[in-house]
Amino acid sequence: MIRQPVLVLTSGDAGRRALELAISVTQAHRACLTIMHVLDTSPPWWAGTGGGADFAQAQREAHRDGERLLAAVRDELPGDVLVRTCVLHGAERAGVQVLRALKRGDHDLLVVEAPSAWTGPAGHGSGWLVRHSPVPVLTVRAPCG
Amino acid sequence: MATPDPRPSSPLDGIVLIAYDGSANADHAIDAAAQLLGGGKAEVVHAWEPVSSAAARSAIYAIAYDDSGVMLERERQQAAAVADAGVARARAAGFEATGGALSGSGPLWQTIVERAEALHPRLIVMGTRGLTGVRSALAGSVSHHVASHSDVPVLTVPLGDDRSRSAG
Repeated sequence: MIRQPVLVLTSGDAGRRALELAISVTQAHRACLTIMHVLDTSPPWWAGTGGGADFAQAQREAHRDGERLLAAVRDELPGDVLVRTCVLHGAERAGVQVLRALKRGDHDLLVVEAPSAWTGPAGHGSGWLVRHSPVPVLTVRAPCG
Repeated sequence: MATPDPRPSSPLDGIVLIAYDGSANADHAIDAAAQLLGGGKAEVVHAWEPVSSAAARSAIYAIAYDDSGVMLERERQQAAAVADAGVARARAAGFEATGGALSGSGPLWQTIVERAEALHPRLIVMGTRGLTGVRSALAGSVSHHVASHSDVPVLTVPLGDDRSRSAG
């Protein structure tokens, strides 16, 4: 049985399908779903070069946007779905943040949109998560056409 | 191979397609999937590709050319044995499993995806070899290609904590 699934929230058709799949799994197993929204808040190369950009302020706004997005998703969920939400943000890449969260919690399944066909070693997208996750990963891609 | 079941009405209904390669990782994937999914109907597929076919795609056809067919028959028998072992493993883990060996005209991932298109399973279960970085890029990954090409959800099971992530 699945007890503590985690969904990494992403946009687009594949992200929507992953959300629906995570909800189905959660309902079927009467589990507690954790929905994560991940912010990559590592400073860009130009930060601090004197351009006047307030990067800390931008991070705070991104965090607020993430909270709003998760609240909107929570409002859409069926009433019988037990759910927790969290915004992950830090100086590490998104995939690393998700791995840390998986290891901190007692999670038994990660749901994420399917990786792209490109198999390069770089990048910390869903393909990287599939290769590094300590728990089984359920992936789904956008429907064709 | 059995006649395809009707398309499932939800991601949680219907048969599970287990892609099995005979490795310890694949055994672990079956056990973990049975624990997560609670068993149910499953088809175990051992996708294989004749050495001559793979060699033709790799432009070393002359080396692997098998005029007598003996090598191909041996490969076929080995593939069937692996598939049988996968079915037995799945049954022991709690699945109502059937299955067999399947060879296609292309790479292994394509054979698995084509079987999923015909079977309409609720999901595909696979182990992962845990290759990372350059090794992953060079060796390729059947599970990665299946996940990125299949319309069906794919459950990829990592190696257990007590196993080497570089195995396989």
